[in-house]
Amino acid sequence: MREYQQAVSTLLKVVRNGQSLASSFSQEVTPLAKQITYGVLREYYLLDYLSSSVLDRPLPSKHLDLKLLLFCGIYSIRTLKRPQHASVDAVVDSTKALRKPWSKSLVNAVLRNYIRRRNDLDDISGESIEIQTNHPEWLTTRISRAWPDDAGQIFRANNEQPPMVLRINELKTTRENYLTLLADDKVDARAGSLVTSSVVLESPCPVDRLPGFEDGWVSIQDEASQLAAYLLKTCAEENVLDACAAPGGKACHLLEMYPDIKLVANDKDQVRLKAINENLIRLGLSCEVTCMDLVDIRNRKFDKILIDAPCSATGIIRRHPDIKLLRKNSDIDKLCAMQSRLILAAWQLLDHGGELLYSTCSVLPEENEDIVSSFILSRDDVEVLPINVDAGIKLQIGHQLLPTSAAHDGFYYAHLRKLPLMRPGE
Amino acid sequence: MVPLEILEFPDPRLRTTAKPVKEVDGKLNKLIDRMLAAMYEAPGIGLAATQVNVHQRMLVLDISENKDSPLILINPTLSDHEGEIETAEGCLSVPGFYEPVIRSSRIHVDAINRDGNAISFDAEDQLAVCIQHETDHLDGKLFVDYLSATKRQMIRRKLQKLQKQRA
Repeated sequence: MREYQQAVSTLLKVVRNGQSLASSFSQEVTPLAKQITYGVLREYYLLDYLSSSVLDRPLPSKHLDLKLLLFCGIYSIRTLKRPQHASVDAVVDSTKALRKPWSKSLVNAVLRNYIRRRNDLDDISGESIEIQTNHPEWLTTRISRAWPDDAGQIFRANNEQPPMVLRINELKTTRENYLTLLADDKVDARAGSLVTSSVVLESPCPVDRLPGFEDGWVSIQDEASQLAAYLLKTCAEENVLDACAAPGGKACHLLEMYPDIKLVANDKDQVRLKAINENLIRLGLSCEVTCMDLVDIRNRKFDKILIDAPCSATGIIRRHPDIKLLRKNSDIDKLCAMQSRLILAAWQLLDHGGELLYSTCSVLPEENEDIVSSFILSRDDVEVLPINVDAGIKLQIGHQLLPTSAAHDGFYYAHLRKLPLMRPGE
Repeated sequence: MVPLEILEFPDPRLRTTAKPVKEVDGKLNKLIDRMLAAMYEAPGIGLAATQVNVHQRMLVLDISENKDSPLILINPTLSDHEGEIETAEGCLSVPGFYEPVIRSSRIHVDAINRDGNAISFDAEDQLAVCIQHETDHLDGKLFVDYLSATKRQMIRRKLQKLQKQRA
């Protein structure tokens, strides 16, 4: 019973208040409540269809909690395949905790109605794309147009539980050694295939069960995101800027791989900046951490710049299924404008001959190749460097990874070089 | 000429996102003629390629009284949506059902015609509704998607029953 109550109160924060899922869980949330919450967001559009099919009339918006409770109930029965009658009882019981005991019989009737008619209702072949893909329509339209051959696979991957992936801190241990430690602790894991620092766990595991986590031996980071430090090859003593560094995963990885660089980890967001410091401390690393708007950084030049730009996060929906509900079509234009500004501002801070790596965790070309190509068109001092990765799609400008079942997240990378200044007479 | 078969809801093939037409050639023009014939035969005022199981961004329509003013839109894009209009819509892929749907009452249309030339115009009222309805098909969308889940299921059950009887 507590599970359903916890799931509903978490979902309310996301659906009603527009809060991110990660910030919505309470301390004492149980694993089952968490599973239900993630699941309901992954299958939101289908559950909305199923529950409204068995309701005589739509619930008024003040009863959003009851609607979400029904979603949780149907999800448990349908997808988690939990015992039907015990689930109905538990869901009905939670109406008390929601202080709506009057809704007991309604909730009971709706769920029993669903169970009775489920053979008929669960057949959604030919239903709307929104229901079949469990994605909002504006997003299916954008993704289908951008990736006509891969759209189906993207939607599927987005609704799956992603693998938990570790990044080995090669200053403290090796991947081989760490795999042995995990095996000793009976944690099933394998080496990742995209980068040499990654370990993929066969099933998620709390961080306190990971050997040496508190001592900074490993971090949680998807393989696609770990690629950044490999693509932006830097050498000792170079001045490197991670322009949008929070929560610090890529910055820390850069320091683990290239401990002798002079790194500035910057982020505009003071609150999110705290996470960088926490990560640096846990991993035993240090660098200059700043909180600035890029355009306000003066009198500094960098040899290498990483811009992991704020984006729609449409490549990591499987890790943050709330994105499907919280992101709006109108956000995309605003994000694109910000991304264009960022890349230009970062370019001003780049030394001649220096390199810039632009990345997003988006699968939308509007935020990726389009941004970079219109930037290049507006200038005459940009060289596009090749990116060689054994996965994803090589584009005219940059490289796109699409979210892939049991493998990496969706990510875009473009690697640019600022042409050296030509001196007269040369 | 073998008449084209029109797919009916809830056929999953109606949910396919159509791909842009690459070349306006003789083959495409033959398909346009067959689609026009199927639309007039039905009779209907619009037909998208998706409905005849061809997943290319192309549609034909004719809202004239005398059925003598066909309009062919290849790779249509709609913009500048304005106003609202509610009409009872029907669809050759949802035969026998007419339900109110709200759409934009004015739109701007850019497309290619059957000669391969770019065309650009504003559409209003019934023409605007018809074009929005047909371009929805190219994105795998049906007018029943705008109705409540319960209503859609009622339509679905009735159509499936008829489809079984015919089979």
